[in-house]
Amino acid sequence: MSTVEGIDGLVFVDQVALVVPFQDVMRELIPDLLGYFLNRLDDREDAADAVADTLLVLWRMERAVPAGTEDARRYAFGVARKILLTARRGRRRYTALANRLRVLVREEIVPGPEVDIELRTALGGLTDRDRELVLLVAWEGFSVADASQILDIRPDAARARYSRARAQLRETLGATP
Amino acid sequence: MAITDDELDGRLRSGRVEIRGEILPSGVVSALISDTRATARGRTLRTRVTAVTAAVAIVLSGIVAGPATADIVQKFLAQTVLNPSVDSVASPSEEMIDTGASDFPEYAASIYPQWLPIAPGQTQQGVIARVVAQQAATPALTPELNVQRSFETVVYTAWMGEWIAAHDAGDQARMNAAIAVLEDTPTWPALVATDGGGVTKLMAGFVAEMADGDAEVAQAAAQYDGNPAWDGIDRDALIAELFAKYIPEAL
Repeated sequence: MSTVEGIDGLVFVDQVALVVPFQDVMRELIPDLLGYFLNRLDDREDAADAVADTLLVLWRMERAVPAGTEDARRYAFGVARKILLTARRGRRRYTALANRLRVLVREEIVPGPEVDIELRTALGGLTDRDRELVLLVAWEGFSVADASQILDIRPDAARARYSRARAQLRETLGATP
Repeated sequence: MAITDDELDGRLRSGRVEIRGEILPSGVVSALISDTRATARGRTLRTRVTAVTAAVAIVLSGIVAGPATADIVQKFLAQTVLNPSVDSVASPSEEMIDTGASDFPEYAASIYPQWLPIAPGQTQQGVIARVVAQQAATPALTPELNVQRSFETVVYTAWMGEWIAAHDAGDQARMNAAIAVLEDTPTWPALVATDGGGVTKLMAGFVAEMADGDAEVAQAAAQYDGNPAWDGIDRDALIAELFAKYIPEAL
């Protein structure tokens, strides 16, 4: 918030920095997070649970979540990635918190993509981190620099890995009849 | 021949589930946010209650002196010998410590176990200050053993945090160094002497799995211990799994 001097010692507010309420940040994040997990977990209901778990962590860590919308989104996907690793190890549990979301995805209100087997196979040929790097950029719309922060990779290393991974995907898909 | 960048981008785009905001009914989103807030608050409350319960349990393992009793025995503090009730687990001749006494910090420093292998970033003075602060939060009459246990717990907690930080940094040498100490922690004397329900067996189980590089178990242990290194992700299911594995008799 910046101020300007007013009359008789009064101070007028010149500009107010907009602070987005945390629940509004979460509201914006939910579709993105659901998409993130649906694209990475085979079981749709697991994806609903993972969204709920991610929101719960974010709420508990509210003070640690950066204020800016983009920073908060990057932070949220860092949490989501950890939740994803937990989910893939089968060490998650059914949570009542996700009930409504689970019903929604179970009833297939959320459409599935056309399955591109060749693409899935090619992505499967990358290392976990390289695949996630490519997908965070392609699917979640992060820059390579932002994705590198989510994955705890140095930005220069991430750029090199990103280029290599894409080159590998282009080659693999090009070689597929 | 390799496909082009544009072709790759196109195939990546079409292979993705896209969730547009309007697909999710606003009522579902609002309810999820509301439920999350309520659950998070409930969890905080439960954590606090658990912490208080744990503190009370430690005091109960010695002798609980209520406010009225505390007033009477204050003149004997910080060190005194009481005659505990017959059903107390404390030894009849055990020296009791008033953690609320003005000279408790000096007393705590005098019994600091010099053999404790403090973790990177810790100092002896820092560990003493931490124990004094913990004890001051719930002043009570307690056996000296419980103060010793606090020293051991503070150092154990720091080594768990060190392993987690080393794992996050991908520093295998630091992880190994932490494991070398952590493997010994279930034998630390005050932890063993005050272990009434398989706590040291559970600790040994945590460390055994961490020695295999299992960061999930480390985080579950951090959650269970209230370690600041916990990443906030609920691993109650894994904690229950570890309990069943290492101390089934506690379930």
